[in-house]
Amino acid sequence: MQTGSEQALGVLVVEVLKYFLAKKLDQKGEVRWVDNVRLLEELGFDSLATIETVFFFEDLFQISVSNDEIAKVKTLGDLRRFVRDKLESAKA
Amino acid sequence: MPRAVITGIGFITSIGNSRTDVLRSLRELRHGFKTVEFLGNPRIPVRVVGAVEGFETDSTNWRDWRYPERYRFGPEALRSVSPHGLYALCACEQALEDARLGAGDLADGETGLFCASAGSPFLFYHYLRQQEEARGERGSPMGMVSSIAGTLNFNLAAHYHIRGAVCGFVSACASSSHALGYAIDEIRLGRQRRVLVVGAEETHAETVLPFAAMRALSVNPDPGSASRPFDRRRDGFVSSGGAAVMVVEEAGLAAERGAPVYAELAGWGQAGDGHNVALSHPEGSGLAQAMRRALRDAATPPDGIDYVNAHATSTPVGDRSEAAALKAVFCAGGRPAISSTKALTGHALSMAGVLEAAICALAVRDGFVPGCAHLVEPDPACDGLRLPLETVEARPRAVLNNSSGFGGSNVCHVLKPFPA
Repeated sequence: MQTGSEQALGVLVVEVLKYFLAKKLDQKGEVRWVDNVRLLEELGFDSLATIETVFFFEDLFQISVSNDEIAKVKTLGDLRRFVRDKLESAKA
Repeated sequence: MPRAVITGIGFITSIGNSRTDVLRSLRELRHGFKTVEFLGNPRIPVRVVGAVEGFETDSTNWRDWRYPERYRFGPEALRSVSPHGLYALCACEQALEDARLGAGDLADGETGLFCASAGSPFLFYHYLRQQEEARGERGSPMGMVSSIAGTLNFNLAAHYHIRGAVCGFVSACASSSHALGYAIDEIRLGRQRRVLVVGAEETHAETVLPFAAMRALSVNPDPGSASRPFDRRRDGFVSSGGAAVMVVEEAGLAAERGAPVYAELAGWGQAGDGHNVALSHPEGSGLAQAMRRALRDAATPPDGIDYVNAHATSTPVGDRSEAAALKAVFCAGGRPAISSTKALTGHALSMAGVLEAAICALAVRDGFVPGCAHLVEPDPACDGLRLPLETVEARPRAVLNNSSGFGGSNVCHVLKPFPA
């Protein structure tokens, strides 16, 4: 997997989510890290954990994320797309 | 009027992380000091600190922290605490177990939570610097709740689902004494049947060194004599931290539950010096008044007190002031044994009041009075005061716990055996 690839970014997003999980999951870690997994309902993210995650990406990629943008991120897929789009627009 | 009693205690301290270890240190007068080099700078003259063992909390990231195996907290508990919040969680677990309470018992609406800490200058500085580096454009969402004064009550109230009174107290080194005093009032007024009282502090450079800037810390490099309250050669206090927790309950509730009682919190009092922002009154006028008010509240004459756990931090000015106050209160009657256990623990700042009240509770229950460790040559200002050099094995009829904070804020508690 190459640095800078979209696949690598997808893996990174999952690892960051694992890092900021606030609650122990009931499924003994058997989370399906698929695009439609919901951050709040299925991964137990509360608003603080979500903001922590966003702050991590802001700091890592030197980007800024607005409250409106955070509110639109509901699933893993949303987050992957959001980070990808942000990075592309930052490059542009 | 409902009576307030102590049914649980937890310690994470420089002299031990359990009641057994703390008790042994107090009886055997074992201090908890070690030599440190703050900020890796050998030119800093302050070299002794009362740090807790068994914890590694030097990282600003809680995921790097190490703490004793017997405690396990999940990310939800740790992500928003500072190092002293972790110490407090551990001490709370001890106190609840000691009081035979489960975490679920605290969510009954009859239980309150009163806390005291100065916050975490260590984390506060880290988060401010992080925000500054981002030119104010972003910052960690955990920065506030993990580091500002109040962080203890924010986190512990959420963790234990407290639905009773929740409050933080800020009166510097009298803070947790205020927390305990107002807990007594909550019980007596029938507003709560149980209050968890928590004090905690850190010994990171960011907490300790501002006191060096005030010239309040000892520069004696010897851990065996740096903290020597009431000694003629004392030169300042030794900073300390950790956490102390006390479960205060209405006596009837303790009886209903069959919970063993350490001691009764028979009364308390407070008074201001009205004198100086940092220095205590030269005659100890506010402290003397606070002692008198506590004694009156507890309906105990001065000659009914067998032991005073003095605030004495080992500073030249503060100890002299307290000696004057003690003479003023006890000149008419009574000659209690007096010691400052800060000779062993160091000065735990806002945590000191509840720590020393817990020490008093052990003294009442186990029947001893800690001696004056490291006292070699008493200050002439202490002439007439009884300062035992060794631990006295005798159950005090009543004890007085003194605390003083910046601005001349003085708080005293009276503890008695229960039942009498």
